[in-house]
Amino acid sequence: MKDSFNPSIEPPKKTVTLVSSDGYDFEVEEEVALESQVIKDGFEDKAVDDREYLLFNVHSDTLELIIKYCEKHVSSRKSISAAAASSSSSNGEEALKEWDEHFISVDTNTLYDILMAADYLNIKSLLDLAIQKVADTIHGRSPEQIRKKFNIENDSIIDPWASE
Amino acid sequence: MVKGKISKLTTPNPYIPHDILFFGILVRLPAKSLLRFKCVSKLWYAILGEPEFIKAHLTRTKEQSTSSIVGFFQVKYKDSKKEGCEYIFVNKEGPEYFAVQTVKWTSRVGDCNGLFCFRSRSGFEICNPSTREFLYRPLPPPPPPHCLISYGFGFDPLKNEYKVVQIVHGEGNFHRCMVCTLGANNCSWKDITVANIGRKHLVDSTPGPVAFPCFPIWDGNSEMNNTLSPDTFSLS
Repeated sequence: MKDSFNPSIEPPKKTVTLVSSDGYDFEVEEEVALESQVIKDGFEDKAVDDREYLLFNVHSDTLELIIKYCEKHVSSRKSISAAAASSSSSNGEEALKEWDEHFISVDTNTLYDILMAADYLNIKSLLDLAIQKVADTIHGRSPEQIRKKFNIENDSIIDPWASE
Repeated sequence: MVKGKISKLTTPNPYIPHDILFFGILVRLPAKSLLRFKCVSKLWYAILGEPEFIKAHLTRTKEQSTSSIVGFFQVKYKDSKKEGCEYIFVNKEGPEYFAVQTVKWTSRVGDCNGLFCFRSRSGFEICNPSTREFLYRPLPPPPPPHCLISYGFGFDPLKNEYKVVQIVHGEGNFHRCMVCTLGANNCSWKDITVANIGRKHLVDSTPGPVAFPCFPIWDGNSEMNNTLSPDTFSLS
């Protein structure tokens, strides 16, 4: 019988090391790091003892947030699918949405840092979240406010909204 | 490995690459905001008017069903001084509406991707309520008497063009089909070949009071079935 597998004993979690642009090491679980499509793409080709990623474009402050997001999403996905398997009702997805909303409610600079990091690491759901947040914040602005926000010089010939 | 905290470089006005800014962020905004943002700078004006951006915006709007025009109604009026007709478009974002005023009576030909096509006495008026833009196209040459005429308006995805079609059906099996392409420099009508056109195709598909029977070549959502050759289409 091959049925000697005991699910109560979990194998030791495999980890990878993420190195931020300012030289900090972050040891995270493999499945958390794999939320990044960039890391996932080359993952199988890398030797097991060489799973270290130098993230030149992500500062440790931002990386910490990114890891927090990925950990939350990995664990939520597990609990949602566990709830679905036992057909018990769960508002996991709603709760995760709420968590996302809270997570992305940060100041502008942090928001842009998250956006750029999510783009660099190719974490689609996070990039989507950050982009939507920026879109929501500029939605009703005037052209002048937009220029200020994105540091754009006004070279427009006509500005019919200037008087508004 | 460098250890020790290196403080992050923060700029007061962070830079967002253009592909993310335009095709990620701005593409999600309603047309009304984009219209306003066209005068942010020359670059914004240019990019927001590019066919590539407009296409991306349309695709996204369709996917998310976030079109902001939820409906329109027609008001016709006539007194001793003038008669006319207004189309009032109702916007999803609030009670805001605006009217398209036409000089004479018009009837609706069809709508497609947020563009509305009307037939007035002198020609076709195509309007884009989101951008408040208008386009006029003259009528094709008049058909022989006692003919049934019908019109269609639709999008040709192969050529990325909007077209107005007139189909004339007469005695015997006489028919003539003409197409006028919007945006082309030459706004003339061209004859096209249509296979197996019959009288059954000339049915009224437009709700409301219309002066002309309308032809169900396209409805607003489906695309032109354009498989035969660039200037012919099959009827389904």
